Amino acid sequence: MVKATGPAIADALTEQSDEMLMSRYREQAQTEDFNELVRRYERELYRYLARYMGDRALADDVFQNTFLQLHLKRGLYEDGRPLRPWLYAIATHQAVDALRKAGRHPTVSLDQRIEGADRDPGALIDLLTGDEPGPLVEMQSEERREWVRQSIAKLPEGLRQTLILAYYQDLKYREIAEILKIPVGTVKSRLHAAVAKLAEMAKAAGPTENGSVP
Amino acid sequence: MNDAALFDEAFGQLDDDRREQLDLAAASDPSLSDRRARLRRAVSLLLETDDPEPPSDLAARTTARMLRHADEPRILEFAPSRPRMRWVDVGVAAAVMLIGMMSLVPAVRHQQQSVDKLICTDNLRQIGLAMNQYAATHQSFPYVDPACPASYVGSAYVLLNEVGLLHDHRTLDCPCDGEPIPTRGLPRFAELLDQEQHGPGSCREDLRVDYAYHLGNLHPETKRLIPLPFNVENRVPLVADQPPFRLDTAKGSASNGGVILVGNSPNHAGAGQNVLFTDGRVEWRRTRWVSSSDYDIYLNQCDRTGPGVHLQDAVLTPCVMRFRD
Repeated sequence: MVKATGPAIADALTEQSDEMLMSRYREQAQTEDFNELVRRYERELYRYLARYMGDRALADDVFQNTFLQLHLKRGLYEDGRPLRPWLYAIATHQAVDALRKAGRHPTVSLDQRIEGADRDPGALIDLLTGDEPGPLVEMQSEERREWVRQSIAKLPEGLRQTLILAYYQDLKYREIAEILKIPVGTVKSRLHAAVAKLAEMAKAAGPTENGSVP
Repeated sequence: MNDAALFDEAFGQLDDDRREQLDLAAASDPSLSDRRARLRRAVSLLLETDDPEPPSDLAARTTARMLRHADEPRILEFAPSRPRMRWVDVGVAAAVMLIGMMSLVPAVRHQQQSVDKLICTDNLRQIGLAMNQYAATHQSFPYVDPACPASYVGSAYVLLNEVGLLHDHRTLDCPCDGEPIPTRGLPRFAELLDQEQHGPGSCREDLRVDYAYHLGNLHPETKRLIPLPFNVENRVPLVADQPPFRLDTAKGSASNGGVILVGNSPNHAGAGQNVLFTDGRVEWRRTRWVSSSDYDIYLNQCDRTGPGVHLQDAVLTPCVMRFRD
């Protein structure tokens, strides 16, 4: 087999799917393939980790650890297995470990009954779309972003993971279910519960008492 | 379209087909369209954050970190990603099985030899019982006068068989030698005599069995052959695995027999021989020496293939040889 060189390699790399690249990296362990995977997921995975952990320095370290694990565990990759959920699962495990080492244990158990988890979507939408403007509307955008950041950080561990994966990372329910090793129904109920909790926090954020958020 | 679809759309979970259906439904239903727009606005407001950008050198540092660890041997490096069955694996498995089975062969053979030796011992015990019953009746152990044409040593077994004391001719077959005796059994004495008169030496094949028998002793005064008496003092060898010998064919078919060779019985591959004594006991002997008065059970005290020079001098002779003075 003759190896391509120079620009030809770059062209060949961009044409490869994530899964093909990973299979080849498992067999040949070429740094070019590893670099291409890092490049493809750099922004997406870093944002996920930064949001989930609420600490950019930690996110930076966990991002590197995630790809180091990808390198070390490359022998376990099975052909055809979607790479994105696998990579997110590794990243999530690394993040949880890092948070634990940093002494930031989840304050709420993932197994406990989550208030609002069984809320009907219609009722949830009604809660979110009240007629009167809520306190968030009156905030400056920078102030509002800070409020959202802090509120998400206050969410229980499981709700925060699910919300970030679903809304900010654009992952499908089944992909989230695979990453977190939970049923799809649980993903949906956690998402509803997370939104309901944020809506309640928003209600409590301002002096208004009309019960509507925006 | 229900509220769950609106919620799923706000979280980017709808595929293209369902989004088109929602667009059509919203176009024909102003209240749905309004609800949809307000939900989008509310969610974007509720979840509005800035997008953290990765540091510019993150990718480079990540690769460098991987390369630092790349040289370290790890257990996962040695785990095959997909175990494949190759012919060499089949060969190794077959070789292991073969070696295992071959290692069992000596043990199985040794076990079989032990069983065969026990059968041989039991054969001699049964012959001993028959001989003693015969001797109790006739006051001497079986014997044929040397003057008789059918005076083969094996005729002693023919006599035992005739009086009904030898129930199965296979008792005369030592299983350790690997060679079966003639399957037709022993002839009757009259047939033996008749056959020998018509063709001297012709019945040797019928008498080819595995156990040598006591040839008898020389009378101290007459120097003639006498059979071993029933009430012989001490214990004397009576029957044993036959010795190594060579038939003497130079003197014609009616010759007395042949030559006893050195060494232990070929029945047990030269390891030794089972010996039946007149008291009915069977003992395994590694040499031909049994006592100070009989240092060779296959030759007499004069080192010859002939009768014992005294009652304690037993000479156990192959069945195809003859009783003689």
